[in-house]
Amino acid sequence: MKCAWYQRWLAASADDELTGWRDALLRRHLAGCTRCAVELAELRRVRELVAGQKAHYVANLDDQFFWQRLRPQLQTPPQPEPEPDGELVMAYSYRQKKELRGPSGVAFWGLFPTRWLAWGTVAVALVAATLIGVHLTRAPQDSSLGAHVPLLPPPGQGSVHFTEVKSTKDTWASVVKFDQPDMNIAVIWVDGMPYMGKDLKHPSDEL
Amino acid sequence: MESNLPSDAELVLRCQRGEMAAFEELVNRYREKVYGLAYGMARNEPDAQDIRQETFVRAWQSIDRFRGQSAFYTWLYRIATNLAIDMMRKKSRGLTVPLDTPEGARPIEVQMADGPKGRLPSDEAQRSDLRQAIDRAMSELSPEHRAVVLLKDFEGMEYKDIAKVVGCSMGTVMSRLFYARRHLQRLLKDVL
Repeated sequence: MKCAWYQRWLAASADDELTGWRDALLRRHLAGCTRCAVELAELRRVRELVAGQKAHYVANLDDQFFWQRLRPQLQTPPQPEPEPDGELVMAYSYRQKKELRGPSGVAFWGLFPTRWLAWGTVAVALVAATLIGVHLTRAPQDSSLGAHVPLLPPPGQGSVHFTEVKSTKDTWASVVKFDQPDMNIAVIWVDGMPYMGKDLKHPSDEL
Repeated sequence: MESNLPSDAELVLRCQRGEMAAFEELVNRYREKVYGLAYGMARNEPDAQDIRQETFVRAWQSIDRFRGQSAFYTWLYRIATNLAIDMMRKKSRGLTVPLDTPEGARPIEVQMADGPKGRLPSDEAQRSDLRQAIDRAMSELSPEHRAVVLLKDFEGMEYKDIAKVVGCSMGTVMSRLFYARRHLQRLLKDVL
C-alpha cells in the first residue's frame, strides 16, 4: 500500500498509542520504507521538543499574587449557571431553547425517564410505521396461487430459475415457468403435481 | 510507602460539601499543570494567569455538577482548554495558518547564537533559540490542534482522555495530532 495510507498512523505510533493489526501493519511497512521510518523519527523528535517546553513555561511562573487574586473570587457561592466552558455553554443554551420551544415537546420528552428510552421508543415507532406502510401498499396477490404451487423448481431441476407465474381459469392449475439459458422449460402445476415440458414458448397455451 | 494524601475524588466530595480547604488542596495540586497548559495555549503570561484563575473559579462554582464520571483533572483541563480556545478565538481570529494547506508551511529559520570565535555556541543560547523556534511553530497551530498537542506532550494524557477533554472522538484526536505534528515537523525542519 502507499505511504500516505500509513502516514496517518505515524503520530499515534510515535505516542505508542497504535495497537493491534494497525501496529503490525505499520511495523511491517516501516521495515521496508526508509521515508516513513525517517518521518516517524522526526515526529518523535517533534514530540520531545514540544514536551521539553513545559518546564520552561512553568519555570517563569510568578505565583506571588495567585491566592490573593483567587480567594476573593472563590467566596462567591456556587451558582446554578451554564456548564463551565464555551462548548458546553452552547449545548446548554440549545437545550434551554429546545425546552422553551413549546409545551408539546416538553410534555413528550417528559414522558420518559431518560433520553435513550425516548429515542428508542421513537425508533421502534418509526420501524413499525414503515413495516405497516409496506404491508398496506404491497400489490394484492392471487390467493389461488401459492396455495398449491410451491414456487420452487421441480425435482431434478435445481439450477433453473423461476421467472413467472400465470394463473389460469382453473384454480387448481397454474403455470410456473422456469428458464435455463439453453432451454425453455415450462412447468404446469395441476392440483399440486408438476407437469414439465420443454421448448414451450407460451406455457399457458398448453392448458 | 503508602501515601496518606487524600485522592482527588475524596477532595471533590469534600468540596461538594462546601469545604473550601479541600478545594484549595486541589488547586495546589493542579495550579502549575493548568498554568502550563494555559501558557502553551495563550503564549503569554497575563492571559495564561487569567485562564488559570478563571478555570479554578468556574471549577469551584460548578463542583456540584461534577459527577465523577471522569477523572477530576480531565474535567479541569476541559474547562481550561475551552476557556483558552475561546480566548484565542476572540483574540487572534484569522491569524492562524490553516492546517489544510500544510504544503504552504515555511520552515522557521532558527538563528543559533554564535559564541566567541573558535568556540562552540553556548548550550544555553542554543536552547533559548530552539525554544523560541518551537514557540513560533506552536503559535502557528490552530487552537484545537495546539490543545491536543499540549495535552499529549505536556500532560502525557492518553488519547481517550484527550478525547474527553476536547469533546471529540479518539479518531479526531489521532487525526489532529497527526496534522499538528506534521505541520510542526515542517516548520522545525532545520532543527530536526
